[in-house]
Parts: sequence; C-alpha cells; structure tokens
Amino acid sequence: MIWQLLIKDLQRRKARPVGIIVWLALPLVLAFLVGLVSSGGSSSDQPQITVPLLVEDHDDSFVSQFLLGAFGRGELGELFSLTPVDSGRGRARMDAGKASALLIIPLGLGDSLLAGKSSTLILVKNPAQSFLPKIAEETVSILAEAGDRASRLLDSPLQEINHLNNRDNAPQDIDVARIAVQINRIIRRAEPVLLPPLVQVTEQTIKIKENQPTPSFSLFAYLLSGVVIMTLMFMLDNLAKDIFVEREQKTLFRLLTTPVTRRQFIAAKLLFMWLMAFLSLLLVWLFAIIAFNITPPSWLLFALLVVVTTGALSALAGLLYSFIATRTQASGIVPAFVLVFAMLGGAMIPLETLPGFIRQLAPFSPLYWAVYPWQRMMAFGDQNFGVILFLGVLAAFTLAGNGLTFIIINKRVRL
Amino acid sequence: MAETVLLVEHLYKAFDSLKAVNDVSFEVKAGEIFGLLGPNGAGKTTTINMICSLLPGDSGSVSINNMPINSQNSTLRKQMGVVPQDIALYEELNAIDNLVFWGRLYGLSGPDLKNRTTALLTKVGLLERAKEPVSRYSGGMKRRLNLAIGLLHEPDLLLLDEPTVGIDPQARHQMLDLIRETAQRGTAILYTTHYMDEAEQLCDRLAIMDHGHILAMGSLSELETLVGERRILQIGGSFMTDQIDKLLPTLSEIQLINRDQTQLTLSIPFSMAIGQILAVLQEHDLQVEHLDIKNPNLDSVFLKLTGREFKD
Repeated sequence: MIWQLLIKDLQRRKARPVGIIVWLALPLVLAFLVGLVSSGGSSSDQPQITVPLLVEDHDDSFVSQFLLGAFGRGELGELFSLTPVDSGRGRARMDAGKASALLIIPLGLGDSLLAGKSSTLILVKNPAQSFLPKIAEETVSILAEAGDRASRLLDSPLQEINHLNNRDNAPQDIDVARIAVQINRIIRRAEPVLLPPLVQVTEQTIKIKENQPTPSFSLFAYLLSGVVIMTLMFMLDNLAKDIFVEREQKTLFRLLTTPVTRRQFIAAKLLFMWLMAFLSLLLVWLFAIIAFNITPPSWLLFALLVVVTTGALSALAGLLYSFIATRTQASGIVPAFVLVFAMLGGAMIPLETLPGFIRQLAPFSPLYWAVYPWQRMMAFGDQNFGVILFLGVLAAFTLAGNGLTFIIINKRVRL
Repeated sequence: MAETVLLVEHLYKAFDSLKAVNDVSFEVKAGEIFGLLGPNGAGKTTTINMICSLLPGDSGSVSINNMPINSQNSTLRKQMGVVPQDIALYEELNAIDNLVFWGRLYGLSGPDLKNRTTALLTKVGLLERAKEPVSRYSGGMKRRLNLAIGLLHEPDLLLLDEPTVGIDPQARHQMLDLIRETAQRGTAILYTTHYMDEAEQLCDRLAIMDHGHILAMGSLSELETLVGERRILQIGGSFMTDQIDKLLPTLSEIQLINRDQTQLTLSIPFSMAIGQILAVLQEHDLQVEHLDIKNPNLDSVFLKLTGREFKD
C-alpha cells in the first residue's frame, strides 16, 4: 500500500515536472555559480582588501617608527591603511566602526628593546568584524616576532647603542664604526642561515592524477556543502506541504475510506520526501564530482553520508510540519526556521565569517550536523573528522525524528 | 428477501453543545437505494463519516455485512465504496491514472483493472478524454470521474454523499442511470441529497433528516401518506396576530402548520375549495398577496414534519 502511494506521488511530480526540476536544478545552478566564483577570475579582477588600522604611538622612538614603517612598505603597504590617532581617540573611532583594529605602541618600547627587556604591543580588535582584525593580528604578531629575534641576535651592539644614547655628549665616530663592525660580523656569522634562508618557499603547480583524492582544500566544495543542504531544506519544505494539499483537495479523506490507513499515508509521505532529497543530494554531488574534479576520500563514507543526511533532513522537515496546522502557517513559519538554522549551521554563510558568539551557537542548529561532515569530507578530503560521531548523530536523528514526526502527525492530522 | 448490508443503530454524535446526529437508526439492503434527505446541516455527512469510521461516534453502532465497523479493518473497507461530497481527485493525473491508482488500493490489478477502467470511462462518457489531466476537465466531468472511482471495485455498499451537486441536468441523468444500474447488480446504496426530485426519482426508501434527527422513514408513497388526503396551502400577506386568532376557530377542517406575520401555512383537505378559504380570509380583513398550493410530495412531507420549507 505504501508503495502504491509512493508511485502515485512520483507520478504526480512527473506529470508536473517543472517544480521538481527547479528544485533539482537549483543546487546545481548554485554549485555551478559557486564553482565559477571560487575557481575563475584573474587576481586583477579580485576586489582589493584593505585593513583600516589605527595607531596610537606613545613611544615615538626609532623602533616604533621602524615598526610602523613596515606597514607602509611593499605588500603590507597595499594591505594596510594606517591612520595615526591621538591618545584616547582610537577607541572612539573603533566604536564608530571606522577601523578593523587599533595598535597601541606603549611608551618605552624602543628603550625596552635596546635594553633587552620585554615589552607589550596592544592590539584592540573590532568585535563587529571577523576577517580583517584577524589579518591585523597575524601581521602584528609576525612583526613582533621579528623584532624579538632581531633584539636577541643583536643584543651586544644594541646594549652599546643604548649606553651611547644615555650619555650626555654625542657618540664619537670611532664608537659608531666599532658598533657597525660588530653588527656586520654578527650578520656575516648568521649569513649561512639567513642568506640563503634554509626554508624556501617556491610556487609549484602539481598535476593530480585522475581518481586520486585531492589533498588540497576546495573552496567550491566547502561552499557547496552548505548551499546544497539549505536548498534541500527548502525543497523538503515544499514536499512536506503535500500533506496539506491532499487534505485541501479532499484526497486524504477519500484515501482513508479505502484500505489505506493513516499510518501508511504518513509513512509514504515521509518516504517520498526522503527519496526526493536523496536523489537531489546525490545528483548535485555527482555533478560537482564530474564537473569540478572533486573526489570524496571514501565512496562508502560518501554513500553513507548521503543516506543519513537526507534521512535527517527529511525528519527535520517532518518535525517542523508536525507542529503546523495549515498551509498558510507552514508558508510563514517553516522558511523562517530553515533560514535561522541555515545561518547558524553554516549552510548559508561559512561559519568562519560569522562573529564568535554565533559560531558557538552552531551545534544547536540541526543543519550544522549535516553541513560540517560534508565540508570536512568534500572540501578538506578528510575522512577522520569524527566520522562516527557525525554519522551516528545524523542516523540517530533520522530514526528519532522520523519516529516522532510519525507519531505527532498521526495524532494531529485532520481531515 | 434481500440481506441487510448496512445496519445503523442509535447513532449519536455531538460537537460541543450541537447534537449533529441524534439517535439515528436505519438499514440498507442489497440492491436497495436508500436516500438520506435533509437540508444542509441536517447531519447527513456526519452520519456518512461515522459509517466510514472516519469520525468516531459518541454512541451507537454501525455494521456492514453483519461485521461491526472498525477503522483498522481493511477487509470491511474493501466492501465499501465512497463518493465524497467534494471532488476528491488527483488533478495532475489523467482519468486512467486516477482510476488505476484507486483501483490498486482496493486490490485490483492487471487485465481486470484495465477492463473495469475502460468500461467505467465509457459509461461516464470520459473515454475520449481519458488521457487528459483531470485539471482540464469541467466540473461535471470531474463529478462523473469522482463517481466512477467509487464504483470501480464493485463494492457491496456504496455511500454517495450528494454526488450530483453543481452539475448540468444531462450529466445528472447519466449519473442517476449509472447508480440505478449499480443497485440492480445488488449493491446497497446510501444516497444523501438535498434535491427532492432526485430522491423521489431514485430512492426505494427514504429517511427525512433535520437537526440530526430522522423525522420520518419509508418509501415515497409511505411518506406521502403522512400528509394524508390533504394538501399544503401557503398564504403570503400581512397578518395581525389577533386576526389569525379570530380566524382559526372558524376553519374547523384546517390544520395550522405554521404562522407568522407574513405567512400562514395550512394543511387542508382535498375536498375543501380554495375559494372558500379565501372568502373566509376576506371576511376577517386579511390581505392576501400570494397563494401557493402543494400536493403531497417530499416537499410537503418535510413542510408538514418541520413547519419549514425545505431549503438548501
């Protein structure tokens, strides 16, 4: 009986194929667009990112000038937009959202460095932004590390410079020459290590053999993992409405006068939702695998994940509909839930771009559990990301969610 | 003597304070068309829903072929065909796919299902357009297909809930013929309607229902005897209460059925001349604006039983 109901729903979709084609094509189109965005375009086409960085220089020594000069040279000069601010005004501009970070150079930084004492740079990050303050933090850390290494390497001549600085009279030429020779010797001793450096970075393009898992990160697969889950949820929302459609067109009433039971009707609807979601997810990833040369690290894991992901998403859609009384209610409430779940779960926007407090909420979104394993597997080529945990959670949700949906709808569905 | 297929005994159903079905009992025998006649809201559809076990009754019992109904009993459901008041079809599918789907639910398959589908489509005049989606059909065509689905598995009991609502007279005749033919093959038919003429033409026995009660039950001739050798006279005009109070004692053979300030409903013997009544009314200064005489039929029976006209 369930089989007959399933065939009937497939026939109905086949008779009006536009709706289902749109739902199947949507993630494919999105996948294609995401693919183009993540793989195409020359660097000159990319928008220039600039990090607005405020600086309060309380030290104003040659060391602090050297540090700030580093932000104005080469690639750092293109990346950072440095704005000196007076003491106390930096915070106000940060609060107004006009900068990504505020670098505070404390008084005595130069003296401390010359004296070999530790000193602290303060970087205040704008909490409303995610990426840009992170860039500022990384850059300042690198410069601080470089300053620390330089002060240790040139400890003796720096001590001498400090001593000369503290004298009342100007340094004599002989002293300057002696220190210069000393620095020159240290650099020469370090030359085998520094020039050429032991660690070289060279750019290479490697050929990936066909059918060999790509070891590198795929931004396309990463973004697609979220987009496809969100699209599936909207498709399932549309399919779940069919319970109301059958009620409104009175076919549910008629079905229940035949040997079909209420339970069989609900089971067939849930099965149909799962089947459509399964086919859709499979098609999207097969398209991505063929068109964008992404290969899952394990086909078994891929197959299992398709089954449990679609099972869990169908259960989620079913559960949302368990508490809905009419089609009008469903049209208003369910998409709102899906959007919130998608946002929190990283299906709409990558979690890494969201503020920290939202990232902490991610595990509370059911979609997080569906998106994350796909990102790890397809984008990072990872098959050891706690696979058992995620598969287990999705499988458990499939069973519990569908079971609960079945019980609630069976009690609530009206003729 | 035909066997009883459907037996309904002392059925009750209330929705809060509204008694939708109140002590309803009747039986339908094999080959019989039993009409449940009543205005909208009389309780006909609620009774049908309880017979289908889609709605639990508060008390009473329903049995089909001597087996009490049960929502889980699929064997009983196979013996029953239901044609709901609303058109219940899959509009995306064509007529053949609809019939095949519903037929399979009743366990039909293969050449048998195919032959029955073709035969029914021919009988309801839809064979030529059988491969078109139902969404393109007119209301009458959908009604005919709605009926065909209920007949497909040749049930022992056919429940028809106002199956001819909103269709043209020609299609209605076609459907009534098909229903008669089905009954002649031995199917027990429960037919609810609010069309008096349809009930008079079609039904072997009738029950008149109002406000959840069965007011009267029997064949058409039996029901008409309730009116007796009398006819119903409806007089429209403007009547003062004291005028009517004075008038009534002077008309000894007349029974007052209903009265208000604009209408008097009277039951009068066939032997009484209308002119005689009008003369008496004139004597009492009653202004008569219109006059309506009803000979014994279901309408006059309903009027006699309820004091109200049978309205949709």
